[in-house]
Amino acid sequence: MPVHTDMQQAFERRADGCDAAGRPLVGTFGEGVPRALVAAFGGLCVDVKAPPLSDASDGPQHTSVAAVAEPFLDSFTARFLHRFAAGAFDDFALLIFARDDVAGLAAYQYATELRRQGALPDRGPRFHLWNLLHTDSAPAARFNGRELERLTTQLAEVFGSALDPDRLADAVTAEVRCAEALAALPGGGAEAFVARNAGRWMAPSDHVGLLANAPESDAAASGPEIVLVGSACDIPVLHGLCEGLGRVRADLQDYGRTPPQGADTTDLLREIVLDPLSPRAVPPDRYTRVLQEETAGADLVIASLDANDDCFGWELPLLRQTVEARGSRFLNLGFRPFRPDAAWEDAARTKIEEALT
Amino acid sequence: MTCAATAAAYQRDWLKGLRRQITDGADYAFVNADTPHELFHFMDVPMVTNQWWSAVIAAKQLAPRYFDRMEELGFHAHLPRYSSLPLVAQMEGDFDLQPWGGLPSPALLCARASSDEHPRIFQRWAELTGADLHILSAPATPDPAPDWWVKARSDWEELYGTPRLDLMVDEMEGLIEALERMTGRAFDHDGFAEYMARIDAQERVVDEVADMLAAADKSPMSISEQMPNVMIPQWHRGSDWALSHVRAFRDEVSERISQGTAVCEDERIRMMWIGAGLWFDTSFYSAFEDSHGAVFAWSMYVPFAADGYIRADHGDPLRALAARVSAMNEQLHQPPWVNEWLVKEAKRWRIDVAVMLVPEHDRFSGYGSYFARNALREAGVTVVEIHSDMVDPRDWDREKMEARVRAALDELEAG
Repeated sequence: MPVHTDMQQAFERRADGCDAAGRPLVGTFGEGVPRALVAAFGGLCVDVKAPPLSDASDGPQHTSVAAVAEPFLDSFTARFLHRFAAGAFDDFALLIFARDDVAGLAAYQYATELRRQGALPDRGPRFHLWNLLHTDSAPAARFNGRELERLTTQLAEVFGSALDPDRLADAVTAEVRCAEALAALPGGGAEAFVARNAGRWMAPSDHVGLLANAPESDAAASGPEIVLVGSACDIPVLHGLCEGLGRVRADLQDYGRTPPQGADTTDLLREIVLDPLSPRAVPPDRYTRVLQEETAGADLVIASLDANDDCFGWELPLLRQTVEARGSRFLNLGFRPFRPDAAWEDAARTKIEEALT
Repeated sequence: MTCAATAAAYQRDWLKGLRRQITDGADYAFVNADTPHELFHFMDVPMVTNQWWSAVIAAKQLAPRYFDRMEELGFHAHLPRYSSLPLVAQMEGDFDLQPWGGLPSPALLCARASSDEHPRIFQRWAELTGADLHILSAPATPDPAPDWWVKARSDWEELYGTPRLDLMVDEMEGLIEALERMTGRAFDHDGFAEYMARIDAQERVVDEVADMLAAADKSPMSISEQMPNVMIPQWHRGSDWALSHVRAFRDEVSERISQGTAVCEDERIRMMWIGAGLWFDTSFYSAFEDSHGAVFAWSMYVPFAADGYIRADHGDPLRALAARVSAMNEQLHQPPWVNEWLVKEAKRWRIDVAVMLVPEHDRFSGYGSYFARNALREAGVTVVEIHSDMVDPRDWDREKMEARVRAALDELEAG
C-alpha cells in the first residue's frame, strides 16, 4: 500500500514543509531529545538534522560555513550549517542539539562559534546543547536530572510559561500511542521507512492518524531475512536495493529504527537513557550486545557507513565474526555516499544479489 | 648533559622499571591521555598511556604494519589512528616485534568518552584482555568561555560548570574504589592534597619557562628539546623527580637566554607546530633552520602545562582534578577554545608561521582546525596545513610537505 501523500510530503520536504499549525517550532538535531517535554510547552519538535530531499546534491552553500567546514566534516553537520546560514531555521523558537549524536556536538559548536564571531547574523532561534548521558549509573542519573531541569528552564524561557503536568501527561500519552503505531509497521521496506520517519516533521497525534493507513506488516513475506547496520542513513536507499531480493527485518541505523521516548512522566528519561543503540551508550558493550542480538537469525547482515565514521567501524570485525559463526552472511558495502548515485546503487545491488546467492 | 638528555635517561630507567614490574606480572592500568592519571600515580598503580604507547610503536616504525593489518582485520581505513594503534598491535599479538616485547593484559582500562571512538576502542581492549573497564563521561560544555585560560586556574567552577564537575568527581570516586580494590590500599585524601599541591608547583615552574621562551629574542631551545623536558615530567607529575627536573629545566633555559644561546643564530622566522607530535619524523621540526632561519619555537606541550593543568584546589583537590580533566582535550581541539587559545599563544610567542597538522581520520582532533586556521590568519600568522596523521607515515611525503612549508617561508621572506 503506498504511503499517504501527507507522510510522503513530510518526508520529502522535512523541516521546510512542516505545518506547525500555529505551534512554535523546536528543531532537534540527533536522537534522545524528550519530545513530550517540548510538546507540553506547546512546541512542535522537528528534525533539523536530515536535509530536504530537494537538496539532491549539496544543498545551499554559504561562504561563512564553507570557510570553516573541513572536508571531513560530517555531512549532516555540514548540510545543517549551510541551511542554517541560509536562514532555513530563522522561524524556529529553539534548536536542541543532542551531544550524544555523532554529528550533533560539532553542529552545535560550529553554529555557536559562527554566531559568536559574527560570521552569521545573530537572528533566529536560541541553541540548546542536550547533554544527556546514555549511562545507567547513579552519577549519570543525577547529571541527567540536572540536564532535564536545564532544558525545562530553557523551554520555559522560550515559551514564557511554566511546565504544566497535565499537558506533559497528555504529551507522553501521545508519544506512547505513536510508538505503538510505529511498532506495528514492518521493520523494513521503503514505504515503512518513509511512514516511520514522516513523524519527525509532524505532531505525534497527526502521525498516528496517518499511520492507520500505513503499510501493513510484511511478516508473511518470503525471502531471506536481512538486517541493516551502520551509520545514520536518512533515506530508504538500502531498503529499495533489497526489494525483490529479500525482506529487511530490521534497520538498526539511525533513521532506520524508532528510538525510544519517555513513557512515564515521573521518569521522562529512563527509556531514552537505556537506548542500547545509542552509539555513546555506557558501558559500551550494551551497543555491541544489541547489535549481535538484533542480527541473530538474519540470513544476511548488510553494513554501510558514512565515510567519516569513527564509531560504528569499531564493531565491524566482531559483528562479521559473530554473524558468520552463526552460518549467516555478512556484507560490508563500505562507505555509503550521503546521497548515493546510480552507479553506487547498481554496484551495491549486485553485491547484495551475490551475497544472497 | 642537557636537561633533555637527563629526562630521557630518567624515562629510560623508569620505563625499564615499569616494564620489569609489568612483565613480572604486576597489575597495571592502560589508560587514555585525558584521564586522571593523578589517581593512578598517587595509588602507585603502574600505568601505560594509550597515546604514549602509540607514539612508541610509531617511533619504532611499526605503524604501517599495524595499520595495514587493521584493514585486513575488517576495520575500515578512515577510523582514527592515534588511539587505535596499540589496540591493533595487541590484537595482532606479535609481541616479539613490539617495544618491550609487547604489553601483557592490563588489569584495568580507563578512557574518557571525549570522542566517540574512545569507548569503542576500549571496549575492544576489554574483550581482548578481560580487564575491568572504566569509562568516564564527557558531557560537553554548553557555554564555553572563549578565554578559558583566564578562569581555568582559579575560577574553574564557573568555567566548567557545577553539574559537570560533580559528575566527574562522582565518577572519579568510583575509579578510586576500583584502585583501592586493585591495590588493597585506602586512598589517603590528605596525602592526595599534598600531591596535588606539588603538581601545581611543577606546572607553575613550567609556566615560568613558557614566559621565558616566549619572550626570548631568539629561541634558546627547539621544540624537540622542549617536548621531553616538559612531557616526561608531565607523565611523572607531582613526583620529587618531576619537580626537581622542571626547576633544572627552567634554570637551563634561563641560562641559555642570558648567554644568548640560540637554536638558530640566524633566526628570522618563528613558527608554531599545531597538533600532537609528528612522532615518526621528528627531524621535520629542524628542517627549515638553515635554509630560512625558521625555528619551531612553539608546540602546545610547554604552554598547555600551565593553562591546562594549574587548578587552584580551593580546599578540594579531587574537585580541582575534575576541573583539570573535565575538558582537558576539548580545550585543544574545540571552538572557541582552540582558536582563541592559539591566537593568544601566537601573539605571546611572536609567531610568524603556524604549521598545522590536520588529522583527517580523527574527527575529534581534526574538527575545529579551520576555525583555528582562520583565526590565526586574521591575527597575521601564515598558516600551512598538513593533512596527515601523528602516527601513520603511510601517506606522509616528507619532501612534499617540506616543499609546502618552504614555499610559505619563501613568500613570507619575499614580503
